[in-house]
Amino acid sequence: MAATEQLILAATRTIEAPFMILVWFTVGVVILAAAEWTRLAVLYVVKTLWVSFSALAFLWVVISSMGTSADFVQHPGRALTQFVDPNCPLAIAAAVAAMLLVGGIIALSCWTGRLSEQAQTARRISVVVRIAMGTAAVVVVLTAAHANGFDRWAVNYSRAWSIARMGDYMVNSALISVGAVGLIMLVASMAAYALTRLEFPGREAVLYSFIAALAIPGQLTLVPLYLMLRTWRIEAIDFVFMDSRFGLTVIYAAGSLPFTIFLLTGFFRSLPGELSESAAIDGCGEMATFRKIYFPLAAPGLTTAAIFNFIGIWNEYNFALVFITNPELKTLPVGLYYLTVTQQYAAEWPALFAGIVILFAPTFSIFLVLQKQIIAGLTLGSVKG
Amino acid sequence: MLLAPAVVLFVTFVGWPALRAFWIALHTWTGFAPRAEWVGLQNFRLLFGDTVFEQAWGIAGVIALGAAVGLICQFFLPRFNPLGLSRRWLGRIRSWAWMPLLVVLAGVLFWWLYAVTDGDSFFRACVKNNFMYMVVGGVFHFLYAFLFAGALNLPSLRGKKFYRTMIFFPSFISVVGVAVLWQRMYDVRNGLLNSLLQALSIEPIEWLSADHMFYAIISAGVWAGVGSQMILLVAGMQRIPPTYFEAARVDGATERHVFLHITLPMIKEVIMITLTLWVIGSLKVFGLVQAFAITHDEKSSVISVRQYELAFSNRDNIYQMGFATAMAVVLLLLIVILAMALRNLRGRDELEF
Amino acid sequence: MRLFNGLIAVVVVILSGILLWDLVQEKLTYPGKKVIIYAGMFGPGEPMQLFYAGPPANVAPEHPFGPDAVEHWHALRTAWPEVEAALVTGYRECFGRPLPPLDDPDPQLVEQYRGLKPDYARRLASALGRLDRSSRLSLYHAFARAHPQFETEMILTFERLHPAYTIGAFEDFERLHPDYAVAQRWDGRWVLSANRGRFLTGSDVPDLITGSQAELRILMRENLALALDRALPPGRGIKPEWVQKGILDGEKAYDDPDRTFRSEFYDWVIDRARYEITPEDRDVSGNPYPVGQPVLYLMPRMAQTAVVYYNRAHFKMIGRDPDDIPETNGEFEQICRQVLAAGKEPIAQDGMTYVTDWWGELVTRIIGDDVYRQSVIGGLPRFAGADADPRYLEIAQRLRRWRGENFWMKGFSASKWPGAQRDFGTGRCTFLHTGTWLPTEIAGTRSWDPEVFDLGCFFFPTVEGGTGDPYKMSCHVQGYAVPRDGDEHEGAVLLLRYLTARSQKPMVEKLNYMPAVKGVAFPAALRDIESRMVNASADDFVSEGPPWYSPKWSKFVFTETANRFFVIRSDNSSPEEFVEELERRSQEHYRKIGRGT
Repeated sequence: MAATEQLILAATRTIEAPFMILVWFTVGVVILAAAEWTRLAVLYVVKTLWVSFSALAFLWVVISSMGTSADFVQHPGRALTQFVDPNCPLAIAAAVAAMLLVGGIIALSCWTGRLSEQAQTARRISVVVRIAMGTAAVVVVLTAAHANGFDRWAVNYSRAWSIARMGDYMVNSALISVGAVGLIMLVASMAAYALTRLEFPGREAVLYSFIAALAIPGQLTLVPLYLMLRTWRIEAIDFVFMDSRFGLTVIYAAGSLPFTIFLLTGFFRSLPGELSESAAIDGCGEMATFRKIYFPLAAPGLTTAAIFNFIGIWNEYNFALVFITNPELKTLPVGLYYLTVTQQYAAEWPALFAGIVILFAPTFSIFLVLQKQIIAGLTLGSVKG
Repeated sequence: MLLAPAVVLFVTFVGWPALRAFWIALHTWTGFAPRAEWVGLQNFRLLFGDTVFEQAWGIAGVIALGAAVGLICQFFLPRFNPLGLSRRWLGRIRSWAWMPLLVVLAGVLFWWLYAVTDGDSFFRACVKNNFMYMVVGGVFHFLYAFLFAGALNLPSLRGKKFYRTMIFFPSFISVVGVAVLWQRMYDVRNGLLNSLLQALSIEPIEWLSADHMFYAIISAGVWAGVGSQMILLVAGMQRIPPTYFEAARVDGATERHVFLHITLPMIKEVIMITLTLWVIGSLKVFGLVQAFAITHDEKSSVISVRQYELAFSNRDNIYQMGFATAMAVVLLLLIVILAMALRNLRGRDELEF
Repeated sequence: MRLFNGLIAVVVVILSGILLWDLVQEKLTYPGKKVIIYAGMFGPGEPMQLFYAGPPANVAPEHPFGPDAVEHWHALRTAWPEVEAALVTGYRECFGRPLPPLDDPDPQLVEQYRGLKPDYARRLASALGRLDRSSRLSLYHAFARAHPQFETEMILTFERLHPAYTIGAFEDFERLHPDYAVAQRWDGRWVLSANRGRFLTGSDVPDLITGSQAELRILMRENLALALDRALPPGRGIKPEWVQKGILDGEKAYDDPDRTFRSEFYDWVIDRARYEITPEDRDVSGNPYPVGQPVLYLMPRMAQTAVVYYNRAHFKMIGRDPDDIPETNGEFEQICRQVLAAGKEPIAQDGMTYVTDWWGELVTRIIGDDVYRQSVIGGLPRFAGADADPRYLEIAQRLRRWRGENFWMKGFSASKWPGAQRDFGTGRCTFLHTGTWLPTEIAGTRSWDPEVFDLGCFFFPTVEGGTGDPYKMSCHVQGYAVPRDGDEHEGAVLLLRYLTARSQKPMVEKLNYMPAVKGVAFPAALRDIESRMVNASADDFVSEGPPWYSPKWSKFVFTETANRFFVIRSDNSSPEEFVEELERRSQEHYRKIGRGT
């Protein structure tokens, strides 16, 4: 028995407690989910726990970013515990109200789900009401926090925006992302069209080399690119590729090429081929055919690819970290990391949280607005593989 | 021509540097001045140690054995059937043999790398960490993705969209944001988790101590990554025609039976895709680990972070771009081998009805 | 058709916009001036300095505009009634609470404030509570022009001197030398890494770069920095005096033509800032150096030594005279035990930062710096095995015993820098071993209540029976290097001379670092060690340690082995395992990479 114990001990030793607790929890969940009559309950519970934890984390970040540093250091959990603090009836009321509103949203969405497709007005009203309830919940919670001393949001956010330069970083990120995405869309759509519609020798080879390039890790090209960029400059205007946004934009565009071409070739293949024939009859060359006919047709696929590329480049960290060292030109993720590092010296945690919120906010808004498209695009990509 | 700009961009910024990387890996270079010294294979020798050649035959033998077993299960057994197994069993072996084969291959590969890189123990630890990330992270990733996908598929669940949004959102944001968020949450003095524990009168836990740091990172990675996997699985599940389910229900099958024998095989394609993405992604993981801490000791570092540290950061005044590129080359080889293995296994699999 | 063409147009516009903006970025216009590019660490534009929410609540009340200097606020308010509203809001912005009322401010004080120029008073009021760099800068400017006699004191108004000083010094310099302009670049903690791309491309290289000696050594090795004490070959930007005697001896002190520039610095600091030549090194023109002569490449700006800080309040608490510093390690351990018995924790420590300093100090005291050096670079004695010095094992055992006796603060393994500093400054622990930059770094977070925290320091005590160097101190120098590819050498050296001039010394004092320049008083917290440092000679210091003479050994062998020993982990090594592993990995290192690397 000692041997078995040793073995179990050794096996569990590889993962240290407290993470072992998570392991056992997961094992328990899986077992229970396998059993028939506990399945539903367990799934509900797990989902709710997970989502509540995520929601709590975000709430903690947002509310802490509105407070003072001294307060945070002394009572880091106060952002959340104020909502269950018996001395704070306002906060408790706000928490209860927010939960009711969220429950109402869920109930309303179920009810909407049951409605027939034709009930247009009812659906629209439901959407509006849900949005209103969501906003109300947010406002209620934030007001309660504000009244409890989390009222320094203006200072914290303005500090993060201007002094910590998150505003600059956001502009840089936006510029680079839009520029790179635009370039990629141009170049990749042309290439995908050529690779699927046109016949020329070596077509297969080129296509497969693009696809094989998906396996090249970014880290491999990092150092050679660094070496390469040092020789790239335009002497006349003293422009160097190395520490510039333009250089980074072009590198991102090139790096996303394999994936985008892969995605777009699948898409272009699904378009009908007769159009090109009719265009040829009308006397259009390849380029004109592409521009006039296929490009507009491919718009949905292109937008999906554009969204994914945009998000990928917006969130990209590795290359931006290496290639841009000038503090004024950094992008948002690198800026946040840099902020974390400097916070080691200054310990202004709420301002760091403000920085995190600034990082999350644009992605969150894009996500909310384009949710359907994003999810559809993801699944589309998976099928075409 | 239409293709020209893409090819030009690609070759200049991706293709040529990738080839150049092999060249740089053969040099020692500090990255400050243009001069780089040729050292031949010394960088690789430093990584792998001298025993690589002695052990190579043994390792090749084991790999060959594993491949042989897998091939036998895949092809010869169904054709010749010397053991007289029933068709059902043959079908099962055939359709699921790829899994143990993959595990064996990956295990052998990492074990080989681990045992053989006695040259650089830090690198070896990084390889082990990558492997742990892949396996442990992957297991939990997929477990939870399946759980949530199954939950989202239940007709009786309310508020699907809300759940889906909340679970998917962390996949969408930058890994640096996730890393910084979780680092703050794990903080011993000011973190959310320890505050919650304190509220429950439990002793605060040192989440980011040397032992726990890597698993903390894996947990954060799982939290962030489950969403996209879940979406893909749900899409795959929804594509299964409901006639199968009705037929199964008419036949009186339990839900578990339905899940194992109908759902899983039909979404195998999706699983393979996500598995490939996960495997390759977990080898390349950089942002999450790097942004979690300023310095990493060998228990919490991965290959790409170590490479970045050696090439670009100067905390210890050691500048070794050639050596770091050699590491990246090894990483590439790892990825290529695993990706090819996955592709082959995928290609040979066909669904039988 | 239109879609595609539209896309092309949009992309072209955006890309060219980015390109243009990047080009414009680099061109900070200084028409008609010679530009000196200064690459420094942290400046007033950096979050590190400015996330300082005004003077903190616990700042020592001697600051004229601290939160408790209510008389000053009211005096200013009485002297200038028109700025009253701005003052009141400013106070609230700075300190988060309303201005306490005061009926009768001191009339003398009011008179003093009436002496301010009205323009300045208005600007002062409007800048109070503002946190951005431009307000403070313009304020400083305005004040400097209008009230030179108050300049020194008023600097203290704005929490930390450092940013105002550095910027102020540059603006001053520009005023005194109108044909120069200083372009400041603040590149964070790792300045050299941030500028590496520029060195590589040779474009936009800074004229002055800040860093520590170990960091900037690579510039010397790669032939990228000017040697300061050698005759330089003639070239662009090289003055004739430097061709004769080199920069350090060719130039004179800034405000005294009878002294050389070299004489401004402590001798031992200059000695420290040298780099020992290896046969592969080449000088600026590519010729090998004369062997056996170290090269000076770093103009020191700040010196650091490692001391053990202690909390005098804790000494009082255990009934010990706060000035009675422990002379031996035995006393030190005894104090630790007494502190433990009194309920506090003896040693503050972060998990992975500076944790091997204790090992280094004990080795120096017991075994000796030179002997250790021999062990590290591959000679005798070894760490373990047949040729070993058994005292290495003893030191490891001693440290493990200290840990067993709970000398280190609870949970130190998970503590990340600067957690230990904060804990020390808030009175949790008694001792902290770190460098002389500490007083400035904890100024914002320490407690100013002398019952809780009162800072003192001493050098690491001797060990009874140790045959090492009982009284030697460590020293690290930080300063400026002059990159070879910079465009403006003359201006850079002029700026260097200016920064070390007599007139700047009062400012340097207020920086609160240990100065490298003679004639500057030490910070208050470091007075205990001032006399020894000022009167030191080069022999009183140990070498820079393994990170200097064996960086690869230090990173690849020592750090990993030490992490397994010092930091609390599941696979902690015992003292025996530690020295054995150290020896084994050292041997592997020598075999593969070489001795002395």
